[in-house]
Amino acid sequence: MHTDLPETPVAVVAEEQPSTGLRRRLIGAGLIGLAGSLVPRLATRAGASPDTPATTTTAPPKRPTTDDVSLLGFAQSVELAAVELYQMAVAAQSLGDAALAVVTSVQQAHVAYAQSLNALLGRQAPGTVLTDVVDQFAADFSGDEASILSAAFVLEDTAVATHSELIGQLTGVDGAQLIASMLIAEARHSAAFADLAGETDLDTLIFTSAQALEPGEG
Amino acid sequence: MNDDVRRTLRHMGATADADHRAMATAMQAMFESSTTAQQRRHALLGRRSFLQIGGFSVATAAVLAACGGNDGGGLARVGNAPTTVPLPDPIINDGVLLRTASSLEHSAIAVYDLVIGNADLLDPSLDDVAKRFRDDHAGHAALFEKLTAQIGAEPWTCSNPRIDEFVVGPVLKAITGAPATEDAAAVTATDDAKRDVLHFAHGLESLAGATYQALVPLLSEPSMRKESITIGTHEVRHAALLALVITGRPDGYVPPVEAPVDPPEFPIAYVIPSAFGSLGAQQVVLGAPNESGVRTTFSLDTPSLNSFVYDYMTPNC
Repeated sequence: MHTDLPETPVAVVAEEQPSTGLRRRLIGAGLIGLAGSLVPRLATRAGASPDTPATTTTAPPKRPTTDDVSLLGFAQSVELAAVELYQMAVAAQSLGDAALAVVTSVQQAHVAYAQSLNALLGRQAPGTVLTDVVDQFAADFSGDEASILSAAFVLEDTAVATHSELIGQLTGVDGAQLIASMLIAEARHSAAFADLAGETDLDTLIFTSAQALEPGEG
Repeated sequence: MNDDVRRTLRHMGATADADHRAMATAMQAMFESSTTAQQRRHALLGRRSFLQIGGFSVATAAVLAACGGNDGGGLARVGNAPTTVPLPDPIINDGVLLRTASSLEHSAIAVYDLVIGNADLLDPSLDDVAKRFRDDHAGHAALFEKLTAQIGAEPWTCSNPRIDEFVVGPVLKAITGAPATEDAAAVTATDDAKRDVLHFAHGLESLAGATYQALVPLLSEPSMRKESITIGTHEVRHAALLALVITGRPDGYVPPVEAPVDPPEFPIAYVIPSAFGSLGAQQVVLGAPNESGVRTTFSLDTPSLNSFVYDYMTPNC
């Protein structure tokens, strides 16, 4: 029974059962090798986070909030009032070529603003005109060129003041971003109308002096 | 045939006997041997087995390493390379944005300081306007520094290093000219410094307006957004007034309905260049024309990752 056993009996087991033993060892070795090769990679990944302090940031919401919808709807009603007033100015037929070109361009810009707000608000867009503003400026916008240009300057300055206040209240980024892009252009509108109206005072040309409209007016 | 069958059967029997003996040996070794437990473990994982396992593991690891990605990125080097200090992680927060805003104001102030009172660069009739614009920028810078301090960040009271290096410096060289250096060829002075200064000032004011418009969606607090856009309206009104000086009236108010057939040599400055505030780069063309008659175009982009004034940056003034 023991005649064919080598000096180390157990060692014979390994030699005499190559088919099953080697397979197991191969599998075992493969698993060991796999584990060994993955250790550095996993260790690197695991080690990436503990030393890096997590920064906590409170990102503002992107879409308009419920309060934002109300504010943006108000902004749209201001824009629609401006569109109506510039229509009156063109209809008055009292503008020279230079003033008419500016009024036409600015009117188209306000149409684009109202449409952009409509796109942002969707079915929640009021689509109504702020009638108080129209009533306040209607006479001047229907007068001669000088009165139209002066009134247009005040209207644009009022729009800048109003939208600046809105940006200070809007929470959602989308609405604030859109109002900001309108506001920057309206500041240029006011400078153009002030210059056309003959204004030379730098304070008047550079700073906004009009009072902001309050949401809820009209 | 029968002999073949018998030989086969005998061979199979011998194989079975060998298998049986081996199993018996293994069982005996495991349970009846006088060897110690330590010896049994060594026998189960003997030197040869260990070497087989180890060799296979190394081969497997080599194959996996060869198939895997190269995340290390290290280059072989010869000699002693100096130790590199990695840059801190750039974190963009309200403080960084406000520091960047004040840095832009200081860059504009430096440009105005350079041209005010210099009759070669600015028509003396425009000195007062330029002084007013410069003072406005100083007020804006002070406001941004105050806001920076209010949120607990360190106010930045210097110009923007990146804009100075890649915009202001090269533009001023293109206007005034510069002698050749070891690194750069000589720059010929422009043929109309006053024109170029006005174009550059218009570009800087437009850039400032676009920057503060761009900050609105980036700043977290609505109150800071309001401050930013309010200052932005001042900047674009500066740009509007400069557009009237550059382009004149009435051509400088709005772009014509139909664009000119031939593009102008210099971008035309308008009071109302577009329906919405643009965040696109401001193109400024200036300097002496080269041998092909083409002048240098500088692109003034709103500050971004490379030009933000991060918390870890130290003042250079």
